[in-house]
Amino acid sequence: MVGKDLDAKERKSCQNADALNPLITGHYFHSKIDFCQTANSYIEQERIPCHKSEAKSIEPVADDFAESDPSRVSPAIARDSAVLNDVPSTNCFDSLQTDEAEICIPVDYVVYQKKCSAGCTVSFSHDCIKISGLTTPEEDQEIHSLEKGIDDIVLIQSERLERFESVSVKLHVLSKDAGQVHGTSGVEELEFVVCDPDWFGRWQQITSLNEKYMSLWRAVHDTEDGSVDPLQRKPHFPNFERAFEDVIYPEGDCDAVSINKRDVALLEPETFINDTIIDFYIQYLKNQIPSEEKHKFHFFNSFFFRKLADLDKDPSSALDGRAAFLRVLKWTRKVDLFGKDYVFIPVNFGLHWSLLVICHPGEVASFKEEDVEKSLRVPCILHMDSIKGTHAGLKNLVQSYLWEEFKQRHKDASEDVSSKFMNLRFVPLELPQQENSFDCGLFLLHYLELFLSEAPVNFNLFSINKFSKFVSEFIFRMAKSYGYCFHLDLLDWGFKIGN
Amino acid sequence: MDQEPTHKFIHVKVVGQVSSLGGELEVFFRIKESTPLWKLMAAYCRRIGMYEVQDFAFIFDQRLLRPHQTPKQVHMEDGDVIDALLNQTGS
Repeated sequence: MVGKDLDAKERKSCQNADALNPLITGHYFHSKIDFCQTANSYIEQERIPCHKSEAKSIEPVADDFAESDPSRVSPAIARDSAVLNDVPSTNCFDSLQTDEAEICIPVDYVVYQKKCSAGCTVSFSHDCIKISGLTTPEEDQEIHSLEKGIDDIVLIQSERLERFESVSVKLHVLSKDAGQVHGTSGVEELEFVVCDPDWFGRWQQITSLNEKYMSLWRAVHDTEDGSVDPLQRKPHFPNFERAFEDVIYPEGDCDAVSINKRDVALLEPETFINDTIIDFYIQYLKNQIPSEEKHKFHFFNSFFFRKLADLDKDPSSALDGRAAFLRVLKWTRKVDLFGKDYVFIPVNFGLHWSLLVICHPGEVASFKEEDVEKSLRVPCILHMDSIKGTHAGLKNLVQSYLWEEFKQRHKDASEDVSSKFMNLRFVPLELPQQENSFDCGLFLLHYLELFLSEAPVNFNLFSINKFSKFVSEFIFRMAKSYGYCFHLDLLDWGFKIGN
Repeated sequence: MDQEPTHKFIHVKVVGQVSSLGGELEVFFRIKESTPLWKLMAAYCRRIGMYEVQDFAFIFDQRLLRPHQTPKQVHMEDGDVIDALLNQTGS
């Protein structure tokens, strides 16, 4: 257990400390972080608050919530009980002026020799720095500690990480095998990140241990007036609750979207709009549909495609249709796509928004190719993109997604049906294009709005001269409104919320 | 401690894909069923560092979680997983 001897030490040192912050007592802390992506590099960190035995008799004040690290308390909780200054209470030390004094700092993580370890403790003492709980580079599971004498330290850099009371500290230390290993400069870098609202106080304690620390310490950012403030001591507390003053639309709906002022600010000209705005406006358009027609449409939110294509990981894995399907398996638990006339998928790919519309997915399995000109409902996938030709992999991804979805619901589906899905028409529509580099999100919404206002119940893209009246009408309206500049109700909404 | 807790705790996991931190990042939380989720969101962001709460979309059960919802309202159960995705934007 990583923190065991630390806990023992802390427990001892805590005994004389008066009332530890009750907020962090009595909790069960458990954190499991994987910074390194490999499954076997997990480091499990279980910490028991340092005076667990006392905790039993203390009714935790804010027992509704426990963070994963005992050294931190969410500012909101802290504010409620007005104990901000007592927050870093896991290490209770009063006097640190003696040579034996040691300052133990639980840190979020340590990066050393390209390995990231969570749940370590860094102890500063008069003549050395000790880091315990490190993962060795060779064997992921082994925990060891590292000790560097103060004379081995070349430089200490600290940088306050914006927006949070975290500080990144970089130690430049002489490596043991300096001069022996080729290709090393002899100086190693060791970085740790601390989240401590009273970091400045902590820093003062460290530098009072030995004045060498003071001379080694550099802050990365200088203050504006040119003087160096070693730690930018102005406490920075994000006001999380205020960040949530927002508008919920549609109120009471389970698919409701909440937008805040920051989202609304994205409606300013020449800005990119984000997923919140997209989802909000889709909800808005959905609400305009008469309730008796709502069941014909299905709107995925803007995160569906992201999960489907797994854009956060290896993009090449998106090509595996089965894996893609499994990632979004649950999304259609309560909806049968094949009972819909139109299914809409907003797509965000490579910082660009576009819209996919699956028309008559229910017809795919029974559709006969020879009916393409006379059938009223021809299944197809439409891609509406205001910058054409950027989405090569979309076609296969959507086709195989539909096939997998179909297979899930019709276990006996034959391979013949599979080929129908895999050959489902994918039509990139010829639409007016954006003439700038920032309006794609608005184009997506406008495409959707016009499509909904025009979409007939029966839709065959291929019946008359390959283009139905609908599409030509659609494109005409599109071109016309582009000429006049769009008018989206969205902008009115933004105005209302903004004021 | 005469009073029985009126709400029970659940353990949930927030899984984020923060590529700048080198991959997947999981944080476990223990949260009361009646606690507004913004506390969890805020704590997650503090844990990750670098981002603000509004930079994330927290997805549970295919829906975007809203800050003032509680686990109970969204039928969150012990062991459930919340996805934390960075907001998407685009031109």
